[in-house]
Amino acid sequence: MLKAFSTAATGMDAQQTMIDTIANNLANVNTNGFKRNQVNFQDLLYLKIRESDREIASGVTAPSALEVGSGVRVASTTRNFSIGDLESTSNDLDVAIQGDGFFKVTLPNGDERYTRDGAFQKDANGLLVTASGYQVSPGITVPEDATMVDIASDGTVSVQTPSGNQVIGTLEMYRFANPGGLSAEGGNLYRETEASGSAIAGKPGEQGYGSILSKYLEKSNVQMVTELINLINAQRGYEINSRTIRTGDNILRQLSELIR
Amino acid sequence: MSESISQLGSGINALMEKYMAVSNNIANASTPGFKRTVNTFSSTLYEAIANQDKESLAAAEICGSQSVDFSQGQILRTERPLDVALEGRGFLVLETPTGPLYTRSGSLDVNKLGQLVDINGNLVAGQNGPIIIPRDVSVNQVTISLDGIVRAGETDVGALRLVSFGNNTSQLEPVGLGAYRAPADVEPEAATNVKVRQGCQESSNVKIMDEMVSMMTLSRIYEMHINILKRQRENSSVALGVANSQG
Repeated sequence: MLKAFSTAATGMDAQQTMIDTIANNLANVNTNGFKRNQVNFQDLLYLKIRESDREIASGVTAPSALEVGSGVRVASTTRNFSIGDLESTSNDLDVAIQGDGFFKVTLPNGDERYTRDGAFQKDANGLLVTASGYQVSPGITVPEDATMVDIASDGTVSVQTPSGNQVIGTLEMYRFANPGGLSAEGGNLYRETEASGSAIAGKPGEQGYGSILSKYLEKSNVQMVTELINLINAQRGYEINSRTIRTGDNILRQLSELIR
Repeated sequence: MSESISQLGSGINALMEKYMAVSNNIANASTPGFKRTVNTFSSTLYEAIANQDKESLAAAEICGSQSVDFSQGQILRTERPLDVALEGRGFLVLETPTGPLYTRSGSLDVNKLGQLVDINGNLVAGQNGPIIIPRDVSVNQVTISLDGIVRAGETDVGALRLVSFGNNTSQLEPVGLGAYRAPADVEPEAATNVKVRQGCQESSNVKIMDEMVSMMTLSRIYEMHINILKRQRENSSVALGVANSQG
């Protein structure tokens, strides 16, 4: 049947993926450390119907070939790791990374994940954990009698106790050759993959690593206006592709009416 | 009379080919770096008229060909450090196992060896071989200057190879996935007047309004063809009826 049907279908499919991605970005507009996803479209292969330079009549050659494209596909979704807005909080344990890098967390089964969400808390044993309760690695234990916790820009965690000030550990930071290759696992966590390369450990504030800003949280880097404009574009794109299908349908209807 | 019917038939086939091009343009209205296909039916026709050649005039109608419109698309900011848009007539070079390909969709990435690649993992050619971003520099610290020089932090790591084809641009063949192949006899030359915009993507140069107008025009012309076909059939049945009554 008409090739245009499948071409338009690929268009609708791609726009659908776009809308799904935008919906997820918008849903996470208030998620700490969330990085927006960007959809990349690509045209599909071309079908060569006629060569260029062929003679279409005596002495007349066609100036160009006839190649028909077969639509569009979603080539990839890439995560945009640009820094989100930093928001001041009053929580001693909230930290934001100003620049590149991730914190490492250890899951209960021993697996390692990476996150930029620095809304840390203490668990029952005083261990530093993420908002979902995963242990921050390397483990830092806040003494029970600590009255104040201070996290310096180089990641040093110190506490004030009745017996004086004391350093209880240092936050480490990790970065990747290609953060876009990290696999998003939900819960603000990312998993190292072959594409991302292995994690490179470092100290906050070192060359290539961001510094730590205590009592701040990194908000999502989703820009509401951009997403809404993209949403309108995707919706119109979907609509217009469906128009192509309707036109094709009309063409076939008229053709079938010829046969009585 | 049968001649005019077969002519109408090839006319309809030609319309279908144009319709496919329009539908592909519409499907790629949001594809970065995409260049629309235009129906060059009229130019072939014009040539035939200029030659005063009736035979080729008839042939031109059914053999209208298509070409890629390489005009500049709008440049949109994405703020992603490895998105580059080209401003001006030029292409990035991709190294593939089957020879070089040329592209304007500059959504680049880094592979696990640190080499600069396109979305499909093809190496992006530098002036002196692949461009490698050192491991200890993150992609957020990569800067690409207007003339394509790539710096990782403070270090110069290479320059993007930018080429153009001058008047031969129209001979490039789209191979899909955002890339074009040059015919064997067409050699690229170093591009001048091409600016590389980092953190941007070139949007598709498809204008939805134009495509909708083309689609409407095509479907009206198609309708006309069908109506003439119907009329032809009526005529022939009348003629047959006359013949029958005579017999």
